[in-house]
Amino acid sequence: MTRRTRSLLGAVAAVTVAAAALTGCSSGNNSTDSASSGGVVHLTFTNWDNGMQTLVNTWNKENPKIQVKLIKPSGTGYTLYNKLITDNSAGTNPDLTEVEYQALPMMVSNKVVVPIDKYVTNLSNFSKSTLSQVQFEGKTYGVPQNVCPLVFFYRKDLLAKDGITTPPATWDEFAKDAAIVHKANPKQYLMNFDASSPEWFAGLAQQAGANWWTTSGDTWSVNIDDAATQKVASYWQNLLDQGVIAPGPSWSTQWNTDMNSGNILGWVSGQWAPNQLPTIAPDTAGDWVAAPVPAWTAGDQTIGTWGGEVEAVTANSKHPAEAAKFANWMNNTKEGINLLIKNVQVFPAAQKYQSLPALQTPPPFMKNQPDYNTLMKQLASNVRGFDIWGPNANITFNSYSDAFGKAVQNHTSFVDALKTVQTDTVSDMKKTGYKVK
Amino acid sequence: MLLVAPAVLLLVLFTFAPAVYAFVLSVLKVQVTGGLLGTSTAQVFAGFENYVDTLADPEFWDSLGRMLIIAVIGVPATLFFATLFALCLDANRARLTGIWRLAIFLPYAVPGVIASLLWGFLYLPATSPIGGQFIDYFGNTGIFFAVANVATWGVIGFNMVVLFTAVRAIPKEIFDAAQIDGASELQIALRIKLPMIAPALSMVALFSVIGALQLFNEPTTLKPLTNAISSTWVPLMRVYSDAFVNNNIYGGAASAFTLLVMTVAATVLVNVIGNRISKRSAR
Amino acid sequence: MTQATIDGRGRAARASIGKDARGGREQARRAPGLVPTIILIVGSLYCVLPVLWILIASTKSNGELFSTPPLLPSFSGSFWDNLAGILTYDNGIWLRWALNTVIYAVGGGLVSTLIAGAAGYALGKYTFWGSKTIFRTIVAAVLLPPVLLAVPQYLLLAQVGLTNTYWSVLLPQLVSPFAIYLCKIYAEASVPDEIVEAARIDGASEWRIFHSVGLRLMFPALITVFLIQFIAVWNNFLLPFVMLSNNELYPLTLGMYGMIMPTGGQPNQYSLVIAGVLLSIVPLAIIFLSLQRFWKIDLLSGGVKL
Repeated sequence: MTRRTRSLLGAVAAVTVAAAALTGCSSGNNSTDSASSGGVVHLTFTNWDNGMQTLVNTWNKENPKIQVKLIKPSGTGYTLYNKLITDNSAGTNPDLTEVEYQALPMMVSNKVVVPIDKYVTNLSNFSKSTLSQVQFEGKTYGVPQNVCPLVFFYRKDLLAKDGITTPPATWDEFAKDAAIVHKANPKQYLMNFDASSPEWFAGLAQQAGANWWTTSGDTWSVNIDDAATQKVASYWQNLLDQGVIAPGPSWSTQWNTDMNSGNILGWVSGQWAPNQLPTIAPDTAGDWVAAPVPAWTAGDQTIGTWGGEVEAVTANSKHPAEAAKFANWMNNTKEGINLLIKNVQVFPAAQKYQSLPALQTPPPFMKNQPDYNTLMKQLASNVRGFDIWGPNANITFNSYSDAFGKAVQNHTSFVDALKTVQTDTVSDMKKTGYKVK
Repeated sequence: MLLVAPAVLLLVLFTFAPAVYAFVLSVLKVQVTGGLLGTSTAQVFAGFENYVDTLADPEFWDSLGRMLIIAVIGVPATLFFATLFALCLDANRARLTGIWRLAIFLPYAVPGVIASLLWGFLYLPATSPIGGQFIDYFGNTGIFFAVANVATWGVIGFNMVVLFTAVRAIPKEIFDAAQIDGASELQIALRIKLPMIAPALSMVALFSVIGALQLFNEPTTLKPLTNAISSTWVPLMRVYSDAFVNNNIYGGAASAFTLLVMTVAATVLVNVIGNRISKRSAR
Repeated sequence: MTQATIDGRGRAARASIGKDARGGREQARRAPGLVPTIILIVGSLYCVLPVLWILIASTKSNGELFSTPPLLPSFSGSFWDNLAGILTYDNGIWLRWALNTVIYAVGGGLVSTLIAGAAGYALGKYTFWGSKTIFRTIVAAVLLPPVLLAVPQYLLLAQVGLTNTYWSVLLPQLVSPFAIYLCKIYAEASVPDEIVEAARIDGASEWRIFHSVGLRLMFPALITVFLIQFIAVWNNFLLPFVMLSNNELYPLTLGMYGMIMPTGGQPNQYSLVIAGVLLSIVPLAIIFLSLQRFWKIDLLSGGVKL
């Protein structure tokens, strides 16, 4: 027994030492350690996109004096943003972080990110509408990376079997097609209503002319349940009530299966969908075609967006100039954007670079559609967004998922759900101290 | 005593200090002043505002209700089956008990998150080998059973072993006497073994109830699969989503403390009832 | 004992309680054993089916997972592809996660067991000023929901710059009220006062008595406590999820969860994760099997006296 006890103690000691050793190795992740040594500046960069490491490697090779370390966060989206806010007060944030457009006002109001006007001068490469997403009260927070217009992806082969040869040009046609598809085969749906993706619904509302947040001076007005959004909500509720679209959330196991097996024939998604489709529906490569999202009135080309991100410098960074330089290289130079297109398959936000030769190659999943990026360019020029995203869009989004999830589950009114989202958003803004009209 | 020192020190540092800190947070809030996006942001004293918000929110009570439904399904099921299996293991001439014992114990080694992912596959029509094509496991009623099942599955084995060891600890003389009186095996199980393991049962019950109150991993992992689970479906999910998604640690802390008070009350209740039952049966 | 072995229950009996004082009991009882066995088989099926499903699913590619019958394995060779896939995913990060898990669960489990053993021994064998209050306070801490503690723990550790390190996951788990409770009960039951007294008369220091008498007598219980702690850490998802932002520090659960959750543009890797789950559960099952005889949970069944 004594021997056993001793070996037990020995094991404890060994593991503790191992833990200490490993901790030692890995403690260089936070910006607290990003001091310059020997004239070399060390930056940390949080980003969750696959393929980003290649860019970082190229930069590090070319810039021995500014070395970047890429960190993949444990949570993406709002989980990450919340963490950034918490870490901000502790001073442990990375130098540079990925932030989606809809969350940038929240990061600004929580003082997580800082203006970069001092360090970046060639912002004229971006369109006004793109810049409006990152400029507040005359200051620029971060370098925009990409534009993500909504796109309608559909299974050309399967729709053709039902006699549908052209994608629906209007939402009316979309509804008719949905009915045809479901009638021909009760297992099949043209699409699903995604109660778990608030940004998707926001994109549809943008297209319909909604403007959820507007400002005058320091005062906000919030109009999430405006007529345009109500129109969108009622439209989808009608399709759901008829049973011609599926009710489940996207990215669930079930949805992946249905996408792969051809039970779901379409997806109103973002420009980035071809990055995800290979794992969502691996057996269907080459079967999907991208088309503009159906319009509310024939001929109208306005569309909304879903996603898109900016690289922002944090308030914790001790080297904001170097961090901004790297962000600008990545998102606003030919070399950086070429690498982004090839490795992360983005459609660049910088207008100047929206016709790069690299864009003549479609994403691998869309090989059958060589002019994929030409379509993206056309769509990107018709993007219409809200004036600004609310400083608490996270509350709005969470409220959407809960309220619409419940409405789908219980077959209750979408318009009422919309009112809940509006109330939740406004009451939170007032509580936090924002002036709301 | 020096030997308690490390435990007390760590407990103070990593449990009680955070708990006190959480309480402090629960009476604070963030206030933004000036400018469109706030020129300054400050933590200010909120009094019991966050508590009032929690208690006045019908969704909080709904989430509590849903948790209770799951507890009402899950806890008795856990107790019943754990006891049943424990008694069967102890039954005379039951075969290959070592194998069954291990098999039933196996889920205990599967982390809750992974268990939920697994059961998610088993529930969804596309991949279900257990009739997900015909039974709507994510329907308004089904969902409660679906969640309770995952939670129960994970703990049944552990509880069974606890109860089994309690059964084995009963002195054999008692059975001998009963057998001489002509009692059947079933009678012995119900009339002698069951009352004798009442203290162990009451402890298993207590831990099951605490487990139910802290339900979090299972519904959180199942959430992306269905519209039936909202971000505030059970109280701890609400705490989580306030603290980690809505950037409102203050409200989250207040909800958590409200819940804590309720947990303590429930625990005391279960403990009192448990003690009374075991006292009565000891008589 | 012979009788017990013949009817197949000897192993179980010995496994659960070392000293089975009831060897002759079976002889007296003659009731049909079919019903209990059937109930146990049904229960086992319920418990094993999902694990069995992992085994079957691990033989399938992502596509086959959703297109072939759920309970029929595939022989397309995907099993090896999946294994290779998970082991080489992101430059072999799965193995790193496995190593991290060992550090968290084995390291944390061992240290917390020793701490609990020491505290339980002291609380069980000595009465000193405040000992009862300390014990009650420790046990009451079981009630604190982990989600409540996670945020302040995170904020406090962030103040000292320890978040996103191994320590941030290890330290908060080093003390377990439940383990202390078990150790106290067991110390009371298994370390006789006479031996402690005798050692004292021989002039042994209190530390020496704890070390050479207390720990030795409590050893079987400590293994149980270690296993319970091991499982607790292995099960704890929230703490690493909150504390860590560098995926090189993740434990397996968090790493694989990240691979499968629909988050911001990350592709799902179902078949790889299923192989990973299989790879992580199998060694655990083997450890449990081999340590079976150390499961001394009878110390749990003593009843709750708060």
